[in-house]
Amino acid sequence: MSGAKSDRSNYAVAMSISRSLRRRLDDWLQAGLLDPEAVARIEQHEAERGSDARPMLLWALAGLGGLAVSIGLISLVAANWSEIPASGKLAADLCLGVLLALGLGRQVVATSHSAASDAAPNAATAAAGFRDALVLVYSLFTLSSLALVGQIYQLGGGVTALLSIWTLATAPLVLLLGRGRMLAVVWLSGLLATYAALVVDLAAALEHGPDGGRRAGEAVGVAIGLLPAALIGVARIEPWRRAKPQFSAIFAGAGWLGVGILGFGFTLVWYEDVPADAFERSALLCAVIWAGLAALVPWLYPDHSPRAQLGLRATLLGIAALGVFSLTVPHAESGLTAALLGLIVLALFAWTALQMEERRLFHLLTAAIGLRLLVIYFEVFGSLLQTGLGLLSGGLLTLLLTWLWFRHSPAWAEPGSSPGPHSDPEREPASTPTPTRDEPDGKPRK
Amino acid sequence: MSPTLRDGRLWLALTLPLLVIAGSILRAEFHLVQADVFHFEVAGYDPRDLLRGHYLRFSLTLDRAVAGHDGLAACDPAQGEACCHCLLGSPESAPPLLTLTTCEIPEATCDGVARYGELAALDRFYVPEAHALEAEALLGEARQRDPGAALLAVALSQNGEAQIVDLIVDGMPLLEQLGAERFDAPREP
Repeated sequence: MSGAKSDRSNYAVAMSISRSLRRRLDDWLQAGLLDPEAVARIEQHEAERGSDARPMLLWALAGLGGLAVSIGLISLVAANWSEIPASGKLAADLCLGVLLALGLGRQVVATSHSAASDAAPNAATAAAGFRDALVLVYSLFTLSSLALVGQIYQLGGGVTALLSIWTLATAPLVLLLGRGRMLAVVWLSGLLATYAALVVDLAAALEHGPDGGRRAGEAVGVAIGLLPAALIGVARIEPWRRAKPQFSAIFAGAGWLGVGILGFGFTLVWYEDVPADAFERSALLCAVIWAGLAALVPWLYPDHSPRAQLGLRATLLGIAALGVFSLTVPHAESGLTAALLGLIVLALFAWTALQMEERRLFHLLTAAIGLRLLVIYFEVFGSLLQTGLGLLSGGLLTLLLTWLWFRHSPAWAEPGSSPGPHSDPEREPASTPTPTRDEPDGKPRK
Repeated sequence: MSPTLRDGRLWLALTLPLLVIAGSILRAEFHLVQADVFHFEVAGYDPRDLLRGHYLRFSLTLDRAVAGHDGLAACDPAQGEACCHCLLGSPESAPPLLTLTTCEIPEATCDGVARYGELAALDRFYVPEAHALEAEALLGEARQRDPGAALLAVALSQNGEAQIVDLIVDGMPLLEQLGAERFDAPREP
C-alpha cells in the first residue's frame, strides 16, 4: 500500500517538472555531474516550486480573451465616435480614470499585504508585475485623456505642452508605484520625448533675433551633450539606486548608450568639412560637464574596482576630448581620420567593458570593431566589389575577421584578464557560480 | 517598501492624473464662459493634413493693422518685447481691427486683447474623420464664393489667452452643417 502511495508521489513529482529540466537532469546524471540523491532533491525542490508556479497557459488564454474584448469595445467606440456627445466622452473618460485609480489602489494594498506575509515569491513577482502594468495603463490613459480634452475643446497647445503636463502629472505615480524594467523603459521614452520637444521649442524661440541660428544651434548642442551626463548622474544617486534598482539600471544604460552614440557621432563629423568655430561654445561646455561627471566617477561607482573607474573616466574624458577636437578644430573631409577615430572609440568602450566585467557588452563591442573594419574596407575598396577579385578579397576579409573574433574574443574576456569581482545591485554578481566543465581543479562541480 | 493607504503620497500619485485631466476640462470651460468671442477671417487654409491627425489647417487674416492708434505704444516682437494685439470692434460682428502694441494697454482702450502669437497659433480645427472630406468640400466651396465666408470664432480672455470656439462657414458652425455631434461648449454671449 505504502509502495503504491510512494509510486503516486514519485509520479506527481516527475509530472510537475518540465521535460527540458528532466532531460538536463538525466544528462548531468549520466555525465557524472550529479548523483541520484542530488537529482532527487532537485526534483523535490522543483515539484514544490511547481505548486506556486505561474499558470502561463491560463494567463495566456485569459490575456487573449481580455485582448479580444478590449479590441471589440474599442472598435464599437471608434465606429460611433462622432455620434457620442462631447460631454459623454468626457464623462466616460473620467469614470474610466476613477476605475483605473481605484483598481491600482486596490492592487497596491494587495501587493503590500503579500509582501508583509510570507507569500510565495512567484505570487509576489506576479502581483508586482500586474501593478506595473496598471501603472503603465493609467499613465498612458492620462496622456490620451489630455489629448481628448485638447481635441474636444480645440486647444492648440501643441505637443510640448501636452507631453510636459503628462510627464508632471504622472511622475509621482510612476516614481512611487513603478518597479520593473518595462515600465522604466516606457517612462524614460516619454521623458526623452518631452525633453526633445522642449529642446525643439527652445531652439525655435532662440532662432528669432540677431544671431538666432547660432544661438539655437548652441542650445541644441548643449542639450544633447547634457542629456547622457544627467541620465548617468541621476541613475547613480545612492537613494535612487536603492529604491529603484531597475529604473536606475535603465537610466544608466540609456546614459552610457548616449555617450556611445555621441562618441561615434563625433567620429562621423570627419566625413564632412567643419568650418572654424562652428560649435565651439557648446562643445566646450559639454566637455566641461562630462569632465565634471568623470571627476565624480568614484562617488557614482564606489563599488567598482579602480580599473573599472579608470575605464569609465577614460571613456568620458576621451569622448569629451574627441567632441572638442572634432567640432572646434576646422578640418576638411577625412574618411581615414573618421575610420581610425571610430576604431579608437570602440576599443575604448570595449576595454572599459572588460574592466567592468561586462563580458556580453565586451563581445558585442569587439564584434562592432570587426564590423567597422569591414565598413572601412568597403569604403576604401567599394568600387572593387563590382569585380570578382574585389568580392573574393572582401569575403576573405569577412571570414578572417569572423575567425579572429571566435578564436580570440573569449580569451580576451577571461576572468584573469580583468580585476577582481565587485558587487553592483544592478547586475548579477560576477562571481555567480555557473556549472562548467572547465573548473580550475579539473573536477566536475557537484 | 510598498506605500499603504495611510500614505499621503499614494493618494497624491493616484489622484494627480485625474485632477490634471479634470482641471484641463474646467480650465477650458471657464475660459469659454468668461471670455468674449471674436470672429476672424480664415485664409490660406490647406486640406486635412493626414500626418497630423484629422484637422483642417488654416491661417487667420491678422493684417488689419491700424497704424498710430491713439494712446498705444509701438511694439516689436522681433526685439524680444512682449507684445499684444489690441482688437477694435464689437465681439461677434465683423472681424476686428488689430493693432500691435505693448501689453500694458490702458483700460477701455481696446474691445479685446490677444497676446502676440496666440492668434497665429490657432491654425487647425479638429474634424471627425467620417466627415472630413465633406468638411473640406464645404470650406473650399464657401471660400471660392466669398473669401470672407469662413470665420473662426475665438474666445479671448481678459488676459489675452485665445481658444477656438467654432469654425463658421456661411454663417453656420461647420460641425452643425456636417450633422456631426456639436461641440457643446458654452455658447457665445
